Amino acid sequence: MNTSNPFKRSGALRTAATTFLLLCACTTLLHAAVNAQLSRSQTSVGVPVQLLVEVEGSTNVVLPDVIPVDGLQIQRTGQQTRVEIINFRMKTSAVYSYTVYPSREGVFEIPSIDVTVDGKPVQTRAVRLQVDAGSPGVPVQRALPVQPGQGANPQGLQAQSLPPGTAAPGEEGQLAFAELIMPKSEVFVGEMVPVEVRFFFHQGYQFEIQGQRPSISGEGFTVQRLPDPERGEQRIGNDGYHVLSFRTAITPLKSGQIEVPPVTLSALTRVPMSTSGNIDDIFEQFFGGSGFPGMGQARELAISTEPAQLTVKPLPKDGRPTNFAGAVGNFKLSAVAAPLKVGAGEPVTLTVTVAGRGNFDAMGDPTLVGDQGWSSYPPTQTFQADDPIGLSGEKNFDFALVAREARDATPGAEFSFFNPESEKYVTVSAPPVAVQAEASSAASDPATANARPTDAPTPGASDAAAAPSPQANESAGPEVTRSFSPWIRSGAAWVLNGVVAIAVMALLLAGWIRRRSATDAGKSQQRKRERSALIARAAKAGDDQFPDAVVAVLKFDADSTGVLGAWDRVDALQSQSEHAASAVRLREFLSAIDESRFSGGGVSQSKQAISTAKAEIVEILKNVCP
Amino acid sequence: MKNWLIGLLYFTLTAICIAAEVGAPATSESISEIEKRLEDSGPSPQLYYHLAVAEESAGNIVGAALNYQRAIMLDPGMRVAQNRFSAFASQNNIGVRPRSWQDDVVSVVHPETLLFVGMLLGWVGAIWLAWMIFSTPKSRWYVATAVFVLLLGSALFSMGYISEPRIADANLSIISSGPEVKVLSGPAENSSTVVALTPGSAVGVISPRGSWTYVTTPGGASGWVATDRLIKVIPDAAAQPSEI
Repeated sequence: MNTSNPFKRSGALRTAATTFLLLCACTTLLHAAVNAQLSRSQTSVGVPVQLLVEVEGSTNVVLPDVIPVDGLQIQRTGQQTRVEIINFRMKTSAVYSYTVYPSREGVFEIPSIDVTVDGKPVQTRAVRLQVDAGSPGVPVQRALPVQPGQGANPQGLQAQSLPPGTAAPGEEGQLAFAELIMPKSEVFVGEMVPVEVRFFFHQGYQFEIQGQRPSISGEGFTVQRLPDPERGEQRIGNDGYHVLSFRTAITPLKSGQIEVPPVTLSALTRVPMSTSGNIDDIFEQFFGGSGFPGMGQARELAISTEPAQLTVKPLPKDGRPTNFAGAVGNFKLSAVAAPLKVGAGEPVTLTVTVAGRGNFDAMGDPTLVGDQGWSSYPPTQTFQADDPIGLSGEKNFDFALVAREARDATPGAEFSFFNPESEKYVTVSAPPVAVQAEASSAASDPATANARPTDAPTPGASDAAAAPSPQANESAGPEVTRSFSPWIRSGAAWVLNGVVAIAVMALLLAGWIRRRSATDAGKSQQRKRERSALIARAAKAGDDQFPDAVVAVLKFDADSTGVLGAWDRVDALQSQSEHAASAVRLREFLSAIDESRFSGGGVSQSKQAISTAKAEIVEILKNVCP
Repeated sequence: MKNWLIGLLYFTLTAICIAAEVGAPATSESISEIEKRLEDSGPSPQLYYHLAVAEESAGNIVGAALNYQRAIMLDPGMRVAQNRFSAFASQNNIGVRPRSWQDDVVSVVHPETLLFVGMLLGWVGAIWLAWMIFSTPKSRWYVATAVFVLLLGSALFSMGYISEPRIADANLSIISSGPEVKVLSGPAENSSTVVALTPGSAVGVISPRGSWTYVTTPGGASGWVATDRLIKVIPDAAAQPSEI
């Protein structure tokens, strides 16, 4: 199926436009983009998070070392530079990391960071961080630990549950275990709940993760896509663990009790073979718990969390605003408009921004209030997340507005959501933005003002309709006739372009032939000069060298005419009537040469014959030029 | 008697000439009369504009939208038609193709002018360059100028081709009169609705498949609509007027 979009013009046309634009301006390739994102949008007091500032297109970047925010200590801690080559285009980007250390609870807005990229000032957008009072490790869902000697299959695992609410995620000496962390166990329908799944691997063993990332699925809720895991280390008692931490969010779709099924990650490890206790003790003493490197039994581990229960409460019906469209969370609303002054019929874009934390995926559009005199169209949406799972961020709704009447302000905007913390519906609003918009020409034009459409066309009304006003006729200009098929697609245009194209081709062909002819003539002249030089050399040669000089001339002629040697050249001359006599004479001369070289007797006669024929042969050679 | 006849003939001819120059339909003309003139004279942006205004006055939203589109397609520089159509579309919540930079270009320079000038310059540059390739001695300045003229001509021609609405919007159609049209996710009645369009809204036809046609909406969404609810902006027979 042809999937080209006629509204966006055809692919071939776009290619032509792109080529032209590339010819005209390459400066857009140098554009640098700056983005700021938190590693997580929610944390607890004393638990740091990372703020990552990514700059694409340049590595010449200046950033502040410290960002002052009351209640947060934000300090730059690192930098990474990345160079990618995609489709022969080099893309450079630098990621600057800040450590954000919260010292008190609350919702903080980390302001825009002033970044200087290649000498030009750029600002990141502000991001929000929610800091809770509690520890990030509670409540802990029960985990399934694996002891070093345990089997591979999940059935063989003896689930050793941690006491619920325990801060320590695992017990000392476990090989691997997992835990599921949710900040709350009672939520509302539509409320996004951040979830963290941690997998712990004992540092005394080597593990190989099998497959991709774990998946969370179940009935009654949706799950955000799992981003790449964070890696870390943690000590539990005397044992060190590698920690893989996956963060996502789930959104309940129905009320009642729902179960988050176990989240499983498969890993391969090598555990010591079971031997007598004494030998084990010896290995323990010398090599630690893992025995010889490479020795032991390969085991596949299925590391799972325990299923978690979530109580989902329905959204209250009381106090539900009429424009509530499913947003659950905590949001703020703001609006800006551009341009601020427009002519008749020109659109104003009102950008309404919903910022905060909640289910951005499921929210409806804000509603416009006080939009009398404006025509509005369904908005386009863009979302910028503050964290990898899209729990926090801001969503922009761009409304295209056209003033039907002269207006000095845009409509205001309202947005309703359910706040699960206060368990109440909240309606936030953004005031109208002052603009200057002229009435559209149809409204100001008396001709059209009288011609406002009715709700439904009356049958037969078209024939009885009034004719357009004289004003409109004058504006339309003199009547001309045009075809719906542009002339460039007409037969005449094809013929005209074909003729000119043929003319250009003919010109190129003529030039090529001319150049080639000039080249052939030059080569011919060169050969003539070389031949004359050979004949002159033969004329000046002594009696001993003369036969060789004559043969050289004949061989040169043979090369020029495409025959093999001197005798063949003479044969060729004999076939030409005007040179037949010369050929006979040359044949006699060549025979005399051979006789003088190879015959035992009569040598002196041959040499004499050569000497006497010298002038005659030179003259013949001059005349038989090919 | 002879002088009187000559005077009458002169008066008649003058009146005909003035009417042809102004090109305005008489105030008593009805929609059907404009349509008749379109049939007789062939497509004319001015006549389509007059027809659109008359249809608008009569409350025929679809007819007005269609004929405004045709007038603008034939003469993209007709500002009066653009302004009236913009206001008309906003008053009636009709979806129209978003304005693009090509529209800005053709509102200043007619695409046919761009096409002709671009073609002329392109060929002049090509011939000049072909001449310079084999001529001796070569002047770098002349070669560079020939290349520049060739590129300039190609660029103008490309811009004209891209901006020509009769080429770029050749697949534009209008939703016909009747109830709101639902753009469906599949070519079946029970498919989910992608978006609903009011009669008079413009859609871009991507692929007609029998009784269903795959289209793009002014908002950029894609889906299927019933083929019998679509009216082509470029009529099958170019001389035909609106078939509302």
